[in-house]
Amino acid sequence: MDYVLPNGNNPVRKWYTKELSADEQADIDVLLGTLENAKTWKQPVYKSLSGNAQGLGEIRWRGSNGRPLRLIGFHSPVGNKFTILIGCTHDGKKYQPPEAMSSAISRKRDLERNRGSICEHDFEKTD
Amino acid sequence: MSTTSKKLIEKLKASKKYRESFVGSQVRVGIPFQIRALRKQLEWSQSRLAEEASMNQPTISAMEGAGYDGFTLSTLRKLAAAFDVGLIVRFAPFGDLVHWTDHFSPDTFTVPRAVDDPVLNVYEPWYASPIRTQPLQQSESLPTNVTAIRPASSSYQNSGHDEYADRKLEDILFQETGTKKYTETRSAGTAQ
Repeated sequence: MDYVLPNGNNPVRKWYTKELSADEQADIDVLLGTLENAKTWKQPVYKSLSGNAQGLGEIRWRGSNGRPLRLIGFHSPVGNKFTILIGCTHDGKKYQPPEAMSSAISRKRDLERNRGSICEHDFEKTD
Repeated sequence: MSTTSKKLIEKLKASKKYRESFVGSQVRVGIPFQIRALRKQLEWSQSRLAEEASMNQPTISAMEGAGYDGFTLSTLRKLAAAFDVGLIVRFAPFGDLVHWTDHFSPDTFTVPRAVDDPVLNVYEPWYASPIRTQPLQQSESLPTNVTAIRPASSSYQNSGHDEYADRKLEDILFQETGTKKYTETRSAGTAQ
């Protein structure tokens, strides 16, 4: 599932279509397709986060030229669906954009307060 | 057809560039999952796999990460040799790749090593090879509907195999080849 802003924009899809190369888009499609069939998500592909990000987790892979890419999100208690809150890079232990983690935390909080919404993650649609 | 398949098919139909990338993703993303699953199947550490494949542990660690872009045929052949499994490299329709992506699960993906490969064990009982990594369980019993047989090869009979391994082969022969080949084998060997 993708997080959708209260104004209806899908920031995850925007990141996917605008920021990722064709190779990286294909990688994430295969990655998500594979994870969908996995009963448990484990390292090195998935890592549960702690501290301020408790309850969140990140899907981790390397994109073009080895740049570390992340999808931050959470598993919903019902149906165990993974909701992607934000896509970003993580180079030198720093997220890009720098506010990626705080945005993810804030978006999760918004969803818990019924602000914003989620939609099916869709490969072919573009904004 | 699953939702994942439908979505992938739409993208593959829409763009040749995406089709090219999708082929690469099968290697960059698909292979790391397979390597990790096979290593876990054997209960090997990354260091053990590195040793078996004449690589180093950090390389194995990198190869198990999704998006690793350094695979070569030579590397994959080394890994196949280390795992003692086959490696299929062939051109294929995109539909095959979609099907694989939609059905592959890292939880259930296993490949029998040569020594455990039922097809390789049908005609020649070479399973007593020292490369076996998964000891047979002495507690397992032969199904009651299988009649015991013993191959006639003198070299086999003198190879120091154990009685349980004999029975395990019989089990495989019966399950994999059915009555016809079972009968042929029995006629070529010495029935008990």
